[in-house]
Amino acid sequence: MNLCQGRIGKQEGASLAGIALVSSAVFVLDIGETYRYGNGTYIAFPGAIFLAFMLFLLLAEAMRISGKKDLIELVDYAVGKFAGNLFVAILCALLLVNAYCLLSRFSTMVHALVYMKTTPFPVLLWIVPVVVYIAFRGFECVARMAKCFGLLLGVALLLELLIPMRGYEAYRLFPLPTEHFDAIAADAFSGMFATGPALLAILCMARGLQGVRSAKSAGTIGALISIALVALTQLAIGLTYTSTELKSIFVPLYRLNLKLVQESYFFRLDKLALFAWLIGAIIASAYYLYGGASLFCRRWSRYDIRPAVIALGVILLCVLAAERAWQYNMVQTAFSFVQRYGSWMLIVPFSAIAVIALIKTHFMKRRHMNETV
Amino acid sequence: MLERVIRFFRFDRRNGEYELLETEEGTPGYLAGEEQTSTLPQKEDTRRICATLAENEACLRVAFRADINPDLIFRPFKLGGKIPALLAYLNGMANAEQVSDFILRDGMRPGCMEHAGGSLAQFAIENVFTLGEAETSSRWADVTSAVMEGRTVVFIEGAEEAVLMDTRGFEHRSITEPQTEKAVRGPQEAFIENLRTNITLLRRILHTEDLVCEMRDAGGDNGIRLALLYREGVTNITLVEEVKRRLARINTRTVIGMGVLEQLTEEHSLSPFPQVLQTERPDRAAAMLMQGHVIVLLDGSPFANVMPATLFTLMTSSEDVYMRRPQGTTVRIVRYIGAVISILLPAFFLALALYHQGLLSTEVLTTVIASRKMVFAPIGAEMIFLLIVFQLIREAGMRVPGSIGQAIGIIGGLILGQAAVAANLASSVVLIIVALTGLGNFCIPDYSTQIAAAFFRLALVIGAWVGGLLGMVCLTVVFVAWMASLKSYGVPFLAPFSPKARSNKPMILRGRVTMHQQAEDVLNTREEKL
Repeated sequence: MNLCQGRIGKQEGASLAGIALVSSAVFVLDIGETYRYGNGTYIAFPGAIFLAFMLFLLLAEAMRISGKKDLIELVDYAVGKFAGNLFVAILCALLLVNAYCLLSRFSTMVHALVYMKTTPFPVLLWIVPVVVYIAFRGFECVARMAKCFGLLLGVALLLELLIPMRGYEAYRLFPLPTEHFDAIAADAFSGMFATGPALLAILCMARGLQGVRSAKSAGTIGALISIALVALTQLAIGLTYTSTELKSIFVPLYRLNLKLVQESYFFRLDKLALFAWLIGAIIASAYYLYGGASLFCRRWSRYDIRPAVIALGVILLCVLAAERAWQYNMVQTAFSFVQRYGSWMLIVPFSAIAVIALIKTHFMKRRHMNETV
Repeated sequence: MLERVIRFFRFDRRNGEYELLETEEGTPGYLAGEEQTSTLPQKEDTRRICATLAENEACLRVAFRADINPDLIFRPFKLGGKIPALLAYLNGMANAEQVSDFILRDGMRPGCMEHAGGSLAQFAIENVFTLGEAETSSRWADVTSAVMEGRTVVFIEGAEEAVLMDTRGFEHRSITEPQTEKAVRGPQEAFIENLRTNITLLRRILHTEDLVCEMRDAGGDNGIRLALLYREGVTNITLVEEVKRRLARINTRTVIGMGVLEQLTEEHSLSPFPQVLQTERPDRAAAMLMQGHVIVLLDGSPFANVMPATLFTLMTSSEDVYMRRPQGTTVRIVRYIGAVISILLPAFFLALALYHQGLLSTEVLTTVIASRKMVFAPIGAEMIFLLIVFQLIREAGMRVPGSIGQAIGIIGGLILGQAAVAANLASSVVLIIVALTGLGNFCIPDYSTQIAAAFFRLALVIGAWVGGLLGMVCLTVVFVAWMASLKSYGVPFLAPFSPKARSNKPMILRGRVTMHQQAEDVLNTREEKL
């Protein structure tokens, strides 16, 4: 079986997790509905990453204690291969849904904010093949890309937040952390559908990350950095716009720049920043696509991953094109379904797997000790 | 070609893909596997030397077509005044004075073969001929290759062995200054076309007893010699084995230069980036050897191939280490900025001017529009035209002799540029962009990498022309992805940045000279400290 997995280090893994988490949390969750009760997303979105991180730690610990080398092995160990198929299918689907969400969001952004005179399909034709190409080159390539661009994107994002600093006003923040806790917690929980797969995919590719320990470190670093970046970004948005304004703003982070950045001598930064985020989204989508294809191949195909990457890439392009062309409602309904129940689909089965694996290991160790005695 | 297409669609893993970073625990299994030898039919000459002179002479005459080929010199003489012998060498390849003084004069000395017993050839080596390098052989293959290399062969009547003596003395260029890697503060000598001289240049710098120089055939019918140099005990043995394996599977009829050899042994033949570093500086090659790289020298080529090569190796100049730290750091930063400008600037400008005028300030936009007022060609075509003109000037300047080349550069750069603006063929802004691009390109120290940068630049310009910043960004990501998945002899092209290697040496900034005692981690050398 040729998974093109190779070996990558902690820095690559952390960058990959960081880019995927930040892209998903900032751009996939960042829709008008999220601001219905206020602009408390600076707690809800990092909270979504934090919850996913907790699940990640639980699974990583279960893998370490039970001695399983990756998440699929752990699933098989806990519930057996037959039932494991369902769990792997859920994760595979969520990874692909995340890839779809990011690509859909960015193709809309690039089309609406830059190439207004064209249709979204040519934009998709530029972006999707690049995503497929990176995933096709393998996990090493995706992870190294993440490392190459990770620091640059992080610095660019911080600069983005620093430039409009003069416009930040604390009075716009509502609710404060102590208020509307239930709504914030519900948002954090439902946001897990976008943040969980990025971290669980790291565990699925733990062999490529040179073991569970290394994967755990990479995921931890990536999650903590992304929690900080997402919190800062959403805080900056909350300090700039009131929740009433945010309900009707398309991509608040883009507007953040546009509101205060004056024309400098050479060029404006808003569109350049958009293309910088696009690079992050391309890497994150390639990661999700590779993750989905990898799970599919390891479970059901057992052959080369590259045909699976191409096939899933084509399916992704078709769904995106269908959404743009004539099936908007159908695709959006499916997306809403995943958005509503994705977190449940993720947290219940995978927490259960971790717990079952831990209990099973405990009893097996006990039995082994009794037999030895 | 068809086989490659079929293999692509079968999605097979390339046979014998080599991973230096992942084979720390031992030699990969495939090193003794199926792809070790050339696919060309190998001609093996199993004939033995005869005891009679006439037969040996006839065989040699037939082998070298002596009836129509006057290059082969035959000189019969009496060894010790008694035993008939025949001397043969290629005119011009062997040193005639050495042949006269140390073979003929010593060989014809009366009585020198008295008390000869056992092997006559061995006796002659030990008691008669006074040349330093001499051996006996009974195989015809050895005799013919020795003659072709410029050695002298002596057949002795009654002996079934020939004496092969090193009398190589063909004309060659003397050691001169480097042509493509000039350094202000470094040594001023470069490799030449003579293999022996090149090895000597390296050995003069490296006084380490673990330096191994393996001589071997480069493959092909012409049997050109090459030297494989590495540090036994330091260089990763799997890397050495991999280089040997790739050399052994060369399946072409002729190998005439280092460039051909590089293409025949590299893994990704379609990559714009080189996967080996070619240097003409012995000091640089020596520094690489010390760090654990493998070097190949080819007879007739004034370059050394250094394997493996990463992006950061290709962006390093030998002079960096001779400068003080702040100077070296400044030069390196300028070099990287130059490379980025060279690759991205034309496409970026084109994207802004064509698709994203809103990103430009009013002043800049007005200047661009004013300068392009009378230019009839589209700005994309204008940019590509000027980039091609730049490459033309560069190629013309390189191919003609020194002073004329400089003149062509000046004429091309100044007069042609000025004339193009005056004739409304090009705008002054685009001309400035292309000039900056050219300057940035020359900051890249490696010639092959400069060509790769030109390729990327042109592709990005086309991408920006078609798709604006989106096209440029997408193509840039594809190129970085290509670099991220490229490997040179098992070492990732972006190492030691990604994957991070255990090294204190900075990649872009010039580190302390004391850091150079650290072995290169990406090479998995056997020593931690050199």
